[in-house]
Amino acid sequence: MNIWDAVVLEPMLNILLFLYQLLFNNFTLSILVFTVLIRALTFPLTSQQQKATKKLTELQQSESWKKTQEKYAKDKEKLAQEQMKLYQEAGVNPLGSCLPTLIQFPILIGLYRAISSVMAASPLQLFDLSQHIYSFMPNVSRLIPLDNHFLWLNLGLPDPYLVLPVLVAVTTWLQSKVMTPPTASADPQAAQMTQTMAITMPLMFGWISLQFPAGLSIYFIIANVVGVVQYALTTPIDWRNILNFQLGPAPVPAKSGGKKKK
Amino acid sequence: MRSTKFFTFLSLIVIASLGVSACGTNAGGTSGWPGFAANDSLAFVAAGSHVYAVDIQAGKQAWTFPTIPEGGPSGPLAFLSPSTPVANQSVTSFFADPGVSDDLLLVGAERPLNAYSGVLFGLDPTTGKPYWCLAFDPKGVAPEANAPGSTACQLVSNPVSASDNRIIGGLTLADNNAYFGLANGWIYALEVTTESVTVKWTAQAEHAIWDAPRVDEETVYVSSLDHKLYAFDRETGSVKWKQDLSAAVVGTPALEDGTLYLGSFGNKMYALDAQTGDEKWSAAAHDWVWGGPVLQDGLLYFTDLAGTVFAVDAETGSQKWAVTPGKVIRGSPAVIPDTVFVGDKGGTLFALNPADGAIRWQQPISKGEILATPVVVNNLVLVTPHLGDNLLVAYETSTGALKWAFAPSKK
Repeated sequence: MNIWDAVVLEPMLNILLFLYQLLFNNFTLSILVFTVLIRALTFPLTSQQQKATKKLTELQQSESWKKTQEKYAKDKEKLAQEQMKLYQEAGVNPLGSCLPTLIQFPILIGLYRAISSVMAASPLQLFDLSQHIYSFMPNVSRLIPLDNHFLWLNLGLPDPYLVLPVLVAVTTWLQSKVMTPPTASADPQAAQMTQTMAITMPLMFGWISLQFPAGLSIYFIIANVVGVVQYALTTPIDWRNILNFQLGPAPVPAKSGGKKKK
Repeated sequence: MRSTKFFTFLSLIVIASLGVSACGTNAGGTSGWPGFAANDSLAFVAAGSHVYAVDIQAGKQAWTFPTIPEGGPSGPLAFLSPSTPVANQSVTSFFADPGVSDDLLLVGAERPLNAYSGVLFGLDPTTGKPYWCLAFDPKGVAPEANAPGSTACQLVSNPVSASDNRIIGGLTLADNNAYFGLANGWIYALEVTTESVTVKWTAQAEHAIWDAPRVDEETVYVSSLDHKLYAFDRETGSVKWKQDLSAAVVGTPALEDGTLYLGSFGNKMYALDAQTGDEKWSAAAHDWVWGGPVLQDGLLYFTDLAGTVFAVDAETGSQKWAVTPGKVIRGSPAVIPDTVFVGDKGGTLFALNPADGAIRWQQPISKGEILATPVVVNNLVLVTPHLGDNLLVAYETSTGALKWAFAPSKK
C-alpha cells in the first residue's frame, strides 16, 4: 500500500463508512457531516487565509505601498525588492493566502477516490473499497452495497441532468464573491486577474462535476455553502456587492494621489 | 510581485485539477476488469472500447468489434444510426463477460459518457459481424429507432422508469434464450436468434446484478447485491423463492443435484436447496467470497479476497483443505480433473493440486493483476490481465509454459 492511500484515502473512506453506519445509512447525510468536519478541521487555515488576505489588502492600499509603486515604476527589479521589504515590515507573507487553498486539493483528490470507492457503482470500485476497509470496522459486509441513491442521482456516477454541476459553479462563484471583497485589489492589473479567477474557478469546478461522481459535487456544494456561512460568522458580508451581478469583485478606483495606468 | 503570485497560484490550481482528473477517468468508464468467454476455437475478451476475438491456437486476433474501417464510419459502425442515443455516445465500454453459443455471441456494454445506459449486442462469433443491438435507456423508446427497416439500435424501456441501465454482469445463453441483469436490478430473459431479439420477461431485484445467472431446465438463479439469491421461473419470470444471505452476493451460483452453492460478502459459502432456497449448510471463509464456486467430483472449490483457496465437501461443507498461494483472489477458480487454477491480484497464475491444494506450478504475468476468472480451453489456461501489457495470455495447463501472449494492435 502506498503512503497516499494510508494517510489520506483510507482514513477518509473509513470515516465515511463509519458516518454512514451512524447516520441511518444515509450517504448524503454522511457527506454533509463529513464536509462540515473537514471545514471545521481546516478552519484555522481558512481563518489564517482570511487574515492574510485582509492584511495584504491593507498593505496594498497603504500610502507607503503606493509611493513605492510610483517611485520604482520603471525599475521592476527594485520595485520587487522594495515590495518585499514592505511585506517583511508588515509581517505579511504574499503567498500566505494561497496555502490553505492548496491544502484543499489533496483533500479533494482523496475525497474523490473515497466517494468513488465507497459508492462502488462498479465492480472495480467495490473491489478497490474492499482493499481499504479497516479490519476493525464492524459489520461492514452488511452495509455493502451502500445506498447510493439520492433524489434522481446515483451518487457514484455523474449527474446526468447537469443540475449539480450548475449548482457547483454557482456556489463556487458565490463563495469567491463573498470571500473576495471589492477592496482586495488596489492594483488594476491584479484586480482584472482576480476577476478572471472569479470566472475561471466556478467553471473549472463545474467542469470537474460534469465528469465525477455526484457525491463529490454534493461535497463541493456543501463546502461552498459552509464556507460562506463560516465567513459570515466572522466578517460582515456586503450583499450589495454580491447582488450587483458583476462576475468578479469590482476593482476599487484609485484614491486621489494614486496614478491611473494609461 | 502580485502577478507572479497570481500566476503561481493559477498554475498550481491547473496542475492540481489535472491531478484530480488523472486520479481516474469517468466514474463509469473504468468499471471493471476485462470480460471473458471462449468456445473451442476463439477467446472473446471484452475490454474497454472493443471486444476482441483471439484465435486460441495461434494467439492471433481474429476480429474486433466495433471496427473503424478506412474512410469513416461505414460498415459495422454504420449500424449504430446517428439518430439514436446509442450513437450519440459513440464511446462504449465493454467489460461484462460475454455469452456465447454456436452461432451467437452476446456482449453487454455501458456508455461511459452517459453511464446510465446499457447496450446489448448480438454478434456473429466467427466474424464479429453485428446482427442486432438492444439499448436500455432511462429515457425510453425512441420511435425512429424502431421504425421498420431501421438498422438502428432498438431501444428497450424498462417496465418502470429506472436509471443505471448498465450491463455489468455476464450473460447466460441457453436454448435461444439469454438471461442477464442490469445495474439497476432488472433481470431480462430474451429470445435471441441471429435474426431477431425479443423480450420474453423481466423481473426485478432490489439492487444491482453483477454476474451471470445460473440456469437449469425450469429455473433461473440470480445473485444480487441486495443480499439475496433469487430463483425465477424460467418460462414466466415469476419469483419462485428468494433467500436473504445477510450480505451481498455477487458470483454465479454453482448447481448440482438439487443444491445451489454461492458465497457472500459475509465471509461465508452457502449450500441451498435449489427447490426452496433453504440453507443446507454454510462454511466460513476468511474474507468476502466474490467469485462463484466450482464443483468437481463431490468437492466444492472457491476463493476469497484474503487470497485463500478452499476445497470443501459439497455434501456436508466440511473443509478438505485451504491454502493461500499468493495475494488477494477475486475471481472463481477454473477446475479441470487434475488441476485447480486461480489468479491473484499480484498478477500470478497458480496451478494447484485438487487433492491437497499444493502448488504444481505458478506463473507471474509480466504486468498487471489477474482479477478475472481463468478459462481452460484445449489444454491451455487463459488469463486476461487487468492493467497489463497483454490482453490475453495462454499457458500450457500441464507445465505452465507460456504458449502465447496477445496484445491488440495500437494503431
